[in-house]
Amino acid sequence: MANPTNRKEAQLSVDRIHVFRQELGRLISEGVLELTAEQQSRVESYLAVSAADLAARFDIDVSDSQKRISLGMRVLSTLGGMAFCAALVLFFYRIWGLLPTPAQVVILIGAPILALIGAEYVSHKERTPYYTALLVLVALGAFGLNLIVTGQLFNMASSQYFFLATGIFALTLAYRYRLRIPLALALVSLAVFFAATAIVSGGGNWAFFLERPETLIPAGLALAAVPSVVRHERTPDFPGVYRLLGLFLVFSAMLAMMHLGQLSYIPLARHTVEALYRALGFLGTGAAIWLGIRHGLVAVVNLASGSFAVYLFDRLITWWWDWMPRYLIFLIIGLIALLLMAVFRKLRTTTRGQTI
Amino acid sequence: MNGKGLVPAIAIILVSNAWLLTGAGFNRRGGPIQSIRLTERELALETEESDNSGVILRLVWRIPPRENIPTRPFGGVAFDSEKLKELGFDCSLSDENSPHFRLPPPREVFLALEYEGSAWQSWLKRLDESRAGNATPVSNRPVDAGEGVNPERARREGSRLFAMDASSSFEHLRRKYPDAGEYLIVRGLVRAGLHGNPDPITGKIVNPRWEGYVLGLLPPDVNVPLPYARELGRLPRATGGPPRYSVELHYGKTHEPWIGSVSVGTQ
Repeated sequence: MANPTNRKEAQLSVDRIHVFRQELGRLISEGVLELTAEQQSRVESYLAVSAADLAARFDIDVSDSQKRISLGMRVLSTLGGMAFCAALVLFFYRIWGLLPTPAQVVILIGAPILALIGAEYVSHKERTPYYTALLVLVALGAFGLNLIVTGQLFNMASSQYFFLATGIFALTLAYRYRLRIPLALALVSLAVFFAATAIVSGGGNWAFFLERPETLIPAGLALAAVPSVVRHERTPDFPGVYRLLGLFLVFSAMLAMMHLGQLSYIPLARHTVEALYRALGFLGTGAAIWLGIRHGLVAVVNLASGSFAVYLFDRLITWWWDWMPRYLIFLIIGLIALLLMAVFRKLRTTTRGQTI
Repeated sequence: MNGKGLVPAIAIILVSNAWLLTGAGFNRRGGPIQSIRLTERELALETEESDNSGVILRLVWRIPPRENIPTRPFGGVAFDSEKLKELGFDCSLSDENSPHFRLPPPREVFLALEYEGSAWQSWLKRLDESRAGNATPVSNRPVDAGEGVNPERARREGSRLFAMDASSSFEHLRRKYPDAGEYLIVRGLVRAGLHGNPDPITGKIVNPRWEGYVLGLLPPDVNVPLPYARELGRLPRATGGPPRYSVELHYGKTHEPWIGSVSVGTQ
């Protein structure tokens, strides 16, 4: 058995031990395999020691009930982090009018630093990242509050650089503590910064970056391409976050552009732009499905398949709504859904056994 | 515990704050580039909910009434196509159904706000004429003026700050409106769009033309620090009547405001 280097690999190893133990028991009980009592004891002993060793080194779940509890703890740490952020923001707004400006600034700068020190301390005390994740979320919220309120204190107009600062900060924490939620927040912030900067460079105001949705397409493509360029050996969960968030931005922006050609930078007629994005949408989701199957990226296949279905239904409703009886439209959509289910079932069979 | 891992994250916090504080310091270095004293009519006290102890003043402004341009949402039309071109908007296509038409996003510009000047006098005159039945009613609804649709209340309590002009250059506006006591130049957002009147038979927009309006000021609010916050925070919610305070507002190099002084008492 290869020696796992991180929690994810260790969890996979323990899961394999669990399955192997079940299959071995079945083979023996059905008489397919015969082992002496001494051999059975040696195998069982080896598996038990291996599982215990992995559990001790990586604090992973060795049973289904432990897995369920871990999932609950992950949800709780996220909710707890968000609740602490809300408490921090509300408490600050409750007291800030009573404080002179220098004290306000010191508190605003000190809060994220304190939360960071807490996260660092806890991360060395626990092997599972639940409390660390909670404190990292608090640090992120405190830093956001810091930048927003400092701007308000000095009556500064908001700018897109807020997203650059919070994006880099969240990215640093995500890699430091190997956490996916800060990574997702960082990627969204950096994509917003990119889109807002694009609109500012054209003379527009940053806050209206959604009035040019296609600026999110290059940002999303760049994010989705990161795992191809940067290796993530110590953070095997991260490539999936990059790909999914990047492609989600791309497919969402394309859906908007299929209807809002008047918001495009492309110097073509509005209807041509919309037709172009319709073609790109279907080609893009098709290409993503193909790449996902080829590289065993199940989540990418699922996201692209879902987007493909949304594009298709959107088109059918747009084309047929005005001239076809409504019941017929929905009947056809239902039949197409059945057809797509058959296709996706085939895809699912193709990707069976792939774990990414 | 090895604290070295924290260094990059703490560095980001410190650099971001240094950037903000340096910017704020640069804005105020060398003193204000323009100052104006406004009353509660133009700087409304934001009554926050009990969970917020901060005190904020909101700049209240309005658009001067114009004879030839009808009222639009968001407070009325401020700029025609010539002015919009000057502000950098592409107004080359005047048909929204044209395949190459693109809706421009709002742009950040400088706005000249006239305080208690000709626009205010003209507004009062139109109000009198309208009451005497000699003119059409004052159609240009005041923007954020706080007096709702009651013109008499606007006369007594409404803002006398009018958005008169816009430019992409502060210096250009200051040369055009050199009196810093009467004209406050601030940053703001302008939105441009195609408008026209619908044909009564076909319903289609005929003779569409580019019109622009002020979306808001940047920043729209002014934070009140201690000790002024304590004085203004004691005032009850505004119930009408003469203004209860005046505020000296400074603007610095980067056009961000701050409060120079506050005088509480009937103005």
